Amino acid sequence: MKTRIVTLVVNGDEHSLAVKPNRTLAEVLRDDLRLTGTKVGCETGDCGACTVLLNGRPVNSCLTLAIEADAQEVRTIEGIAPSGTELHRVQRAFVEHGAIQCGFCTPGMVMSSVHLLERAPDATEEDIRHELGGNLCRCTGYTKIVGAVSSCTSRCRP
Amino acid sequence: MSHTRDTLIGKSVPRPDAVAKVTGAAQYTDDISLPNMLHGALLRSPHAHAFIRKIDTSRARALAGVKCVITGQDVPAVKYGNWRLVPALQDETALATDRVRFIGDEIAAVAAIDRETAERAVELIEVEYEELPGVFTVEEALAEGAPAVHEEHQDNISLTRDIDYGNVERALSEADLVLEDTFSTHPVSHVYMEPCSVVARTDTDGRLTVWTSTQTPYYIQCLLARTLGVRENDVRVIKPHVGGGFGGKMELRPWEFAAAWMARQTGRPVKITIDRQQELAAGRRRHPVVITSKIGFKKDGTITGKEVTARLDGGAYNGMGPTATFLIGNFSAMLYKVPAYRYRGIYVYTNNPPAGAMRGFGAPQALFAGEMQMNRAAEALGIDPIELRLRNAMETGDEIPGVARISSCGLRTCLEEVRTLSNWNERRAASAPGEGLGIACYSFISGGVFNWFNTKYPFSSAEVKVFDDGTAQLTTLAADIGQGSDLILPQILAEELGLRVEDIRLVTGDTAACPQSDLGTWGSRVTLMAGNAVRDAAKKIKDELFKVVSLKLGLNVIHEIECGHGTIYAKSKPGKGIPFAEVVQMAQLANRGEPIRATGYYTPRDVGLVSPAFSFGAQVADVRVDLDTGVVEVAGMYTVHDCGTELNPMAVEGQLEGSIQMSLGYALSEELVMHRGRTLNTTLLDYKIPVALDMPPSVSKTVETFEPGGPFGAKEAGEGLACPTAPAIAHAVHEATGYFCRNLPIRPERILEHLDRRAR
Amino acid sequence: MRLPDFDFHVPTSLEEVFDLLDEHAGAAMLMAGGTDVLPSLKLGRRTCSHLIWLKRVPGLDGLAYDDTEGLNIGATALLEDVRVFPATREHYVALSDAIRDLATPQTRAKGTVVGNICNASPCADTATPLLVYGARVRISSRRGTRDVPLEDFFRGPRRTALELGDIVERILVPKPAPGERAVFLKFSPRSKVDIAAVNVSVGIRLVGGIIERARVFLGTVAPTPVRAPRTEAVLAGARPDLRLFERASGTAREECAPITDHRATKEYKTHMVGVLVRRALERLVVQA
Repeated sequence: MKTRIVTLVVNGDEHSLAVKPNRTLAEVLRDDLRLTGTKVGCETGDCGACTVLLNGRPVNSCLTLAIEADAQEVRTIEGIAPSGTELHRVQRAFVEHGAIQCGFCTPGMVMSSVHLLERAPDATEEDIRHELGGNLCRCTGYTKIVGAVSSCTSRCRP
Repeated sequence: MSHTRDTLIGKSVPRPDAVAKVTGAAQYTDDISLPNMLHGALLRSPHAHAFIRKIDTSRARALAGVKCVITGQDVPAVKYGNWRLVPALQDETALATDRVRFIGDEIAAVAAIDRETAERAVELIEVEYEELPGVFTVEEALAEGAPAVHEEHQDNISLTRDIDYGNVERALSEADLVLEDTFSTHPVSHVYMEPCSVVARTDTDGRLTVWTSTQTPYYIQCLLARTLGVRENDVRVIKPHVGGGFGGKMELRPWEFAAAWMARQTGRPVKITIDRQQELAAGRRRHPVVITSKIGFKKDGTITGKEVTARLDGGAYNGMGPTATFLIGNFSAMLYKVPAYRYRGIYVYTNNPPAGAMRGFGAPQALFAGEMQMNRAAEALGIDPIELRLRNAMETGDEIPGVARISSCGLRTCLEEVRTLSNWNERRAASAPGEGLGIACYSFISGGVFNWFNTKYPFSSAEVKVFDDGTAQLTTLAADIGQGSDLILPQILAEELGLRVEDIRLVTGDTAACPQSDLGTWGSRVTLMAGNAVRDAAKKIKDELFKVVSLKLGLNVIHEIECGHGTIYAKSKPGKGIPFAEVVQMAQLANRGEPIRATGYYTPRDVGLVSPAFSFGAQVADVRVDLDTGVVEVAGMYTVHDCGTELNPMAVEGQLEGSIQMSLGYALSEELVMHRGRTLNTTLLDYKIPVALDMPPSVSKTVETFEPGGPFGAKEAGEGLACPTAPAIAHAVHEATGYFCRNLPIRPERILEHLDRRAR
Repeated sequence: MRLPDFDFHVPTSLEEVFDLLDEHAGAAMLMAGGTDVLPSLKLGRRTCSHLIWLKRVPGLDGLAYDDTEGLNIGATALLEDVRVFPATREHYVALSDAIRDLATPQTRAKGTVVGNICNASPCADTATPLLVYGARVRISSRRGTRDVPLEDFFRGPRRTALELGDIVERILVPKPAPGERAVFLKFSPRSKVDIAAVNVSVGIRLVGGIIERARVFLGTVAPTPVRAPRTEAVLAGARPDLRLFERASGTAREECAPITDHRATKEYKTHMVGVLVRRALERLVVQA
């Protein structure tokens, strides 16, 4: 199995890495780049905890080979806040609405929500429930998560 | 004259760890990476029941990158289990010695330079098995001549538990209506989002440090020390952030032992992370239980007596089963006044993966049976189901003979309020075919009293230090696994000291740093027990500080002193307080520089056998059944519950909302599908927990009671709520279709079969 | 859970794909989005030592529509892109509905329609709508290019008409005739985001208040998605009314033969085929 050199642009930073083809993006983000905010909950693309944005689209990084992301833009939970002292408005809404309990689904939820709001700033509650369909949570019953995302839509921000 | 000062009690303060969690900075066990760390993997049994004749690890050892391979032959065969009080109940070894008892039973472990190599090495271990016949249901296990899962228990009965008071025979013979029903429940998984993980390292001084995804760091420390053959103080357990547990992370697990052993063996840190497939295939699950219940009523609806037998499918080992066996008996007679009651719980070994504690711990099963039977009784007696419950509802001051005293109870109010909230009377009168309202209630414990772990320490402990900059530090082993004790305990302390939550720094989750001890997160014990320990420490601190204030303000001895707004003052003269920081400075000075610190403790004493306090609630489910397909759509949930004083409403709501998700799954979609000991659905594609779209709208309300045994009158709010949902939905389905569910989950097929039969 | 060792090939032309398929005959798998290939490799349900990744082959990501050729879905066109493509929403509603319910947003943003078809799962949600619309599969190999009706493409669970060296280059979906409409319905009793226990697509062409012709395809009730010709015959030439739908529903139940699995029993699936066919017809007529 040949090792490849791949170049990932993660949260704007370029990294050249030698990876075996069978390594997933989730593994490389977590183990090689130590970006452990991306969580691994199932490894088969069913829980959404490992959601990152690949060229702006939400993908399960456990079902993405690192090689597939070669020369592509990857955005992870670590790259969402505008600065080290400021949260993204979706992150702030999660904190304020009590949308976080154990926190393990939170990074993936935030990534899906950020993508949803970038694409559909006027999303309805129904849209939000649909678009979070790939992110499982076992603590919150989703109520406060949906509430937090709703509060960020243009419907709530005149 | 008293003035009302601002209080933090009842305030929806956000979690202090929320920012860390929402930015991905919060560290969970698998996020830890240590220099020179090895990665481990486990070999698990493919057979449900077999003798191990031979294990050959030579090919695994020969694989490049493999640093350590261990089997049951290489390590001491120390039996362990949470029931230290009764050593005979400790029936598990970390790695199988001569026999495997379930599919997934751990046999060997490997540590290698990376996970891939470790997993590859596991596949190279050759095991010769001699397969044995297995037993996979309670009926099979109890049958004459059934193969024994454990030599010591030829009848496959690990233990029985009895509760008996009043004259049940007479009570039932004097009843106007006697019902007897058998109900059964199915195995389900916790599906905590964070799969289990452990990192173990030998420190430079020889002590072993173990980071692990657990809800009971103290148990892990004790049981790991015992299985490794070292002293407790030679093991330090650290609980990083934990991604949920729900009861599934409260025992010592073989990977914790294996990582620790291999770390000692290799001198290098070892990490083992369990994947979801293993979690679902071999992980702990909620006990499937067969419950037979016989209950008698007078014509007016008064319960005369009840007799319950529960047979638990415990799987291959005891785990927490003995506790479940007892609790099902309690939960079956805790909601209503039952003058005569007899219970027998039977814990049965099978060759299924072992069951364990899971949110509600016995109550979801007991209340499914008990509440469904109440609804059947209401129908038979011609009494409204809420009315029937009101006639029998437990009340403050009631006693369960020899078991418990109910020190606060808002059940009647819950029932009355949920009737209004759900528009019960009007909706029931006007429901169309396929529509129905159903009701169920719950009662639950606020922590356990029985010392089955046989701890020699207080059940909860908290150390408080105060500083002359106006801040405080709280150190406790109480374990936040997502439920929010890292918020509630500082909130309690801040309230006591008159500080803000952000003035409290928290040190937690480290057995080497935290006071001995805290039993961990289970049985909804933390708010009450650790909360009381925090208050005890705060009281000791305040005793010190109040001396100074009294002296400084020259207070008459009859004055009451209190803390608030960052000051300490005489209650009658709130304007003339001294800043908290200044008081600490003076106290410290008076103490010749010694820091102001105190440790508080809580151990329940003289409060019966079960719990110091009981929560109650009533829930109504509004369902629509598609009469063509049998599919149940929950259109709304209405909940009114009594958790005593609500310390943080947002946190309480979060518990309720999460409970509804888990219990909706329990009622309708979740089931570990078993075939001869094998779990067939081992991915989250096939094991289906509800997603955001599946969730019904929910309305809730709390009724405030004051629990004298709880901090600021608070009691449990996290587990009881997980119990009424399944019976409430099942009752609503019955109202909507006539189908009476006796065996969970509620399946559309069964509803259709019923409708077909009725049509014919 | 780990991925097996494999070599990963990134061809940049079809020629190169053919070379790789020749060179690693039998040991290679084609991968587009990987949302099915990768989990099945992780779970040990499939093995392979060479993955040939198609995403860098120019032109395969094409997605186009015109009134004469219909919809043209390239091998690497993403599920989500096909779903929101204006022509899909206008002319192939059953397909866009099927994609929406097929998988999570994350899978739709990476998986492909062609992948869903090549996977040949009996419950592949895009299969029945594409069958109703009369889709053809364009298969290429070094030997040349041929079009195979999708109906002849499925040969069994996870088995297709593809031979060694073949690749599905695109799917061609003719434009529905005037008055022709189709509906996709799926039934998953446990959750709104779930694999189908049963799925059906029904298309009818209404001319002057009469069903001129009907196409009915059923998923998950046989080793492959199947056509229900007797049900179609019941509908053809008839005036749509509730009694007709009841008859069609009964015939559909008779002509399917599902098996019991952990999602539902065969009796229940059979029943559901009837319900879905009836509901699909009702919906089609209401829309008319």
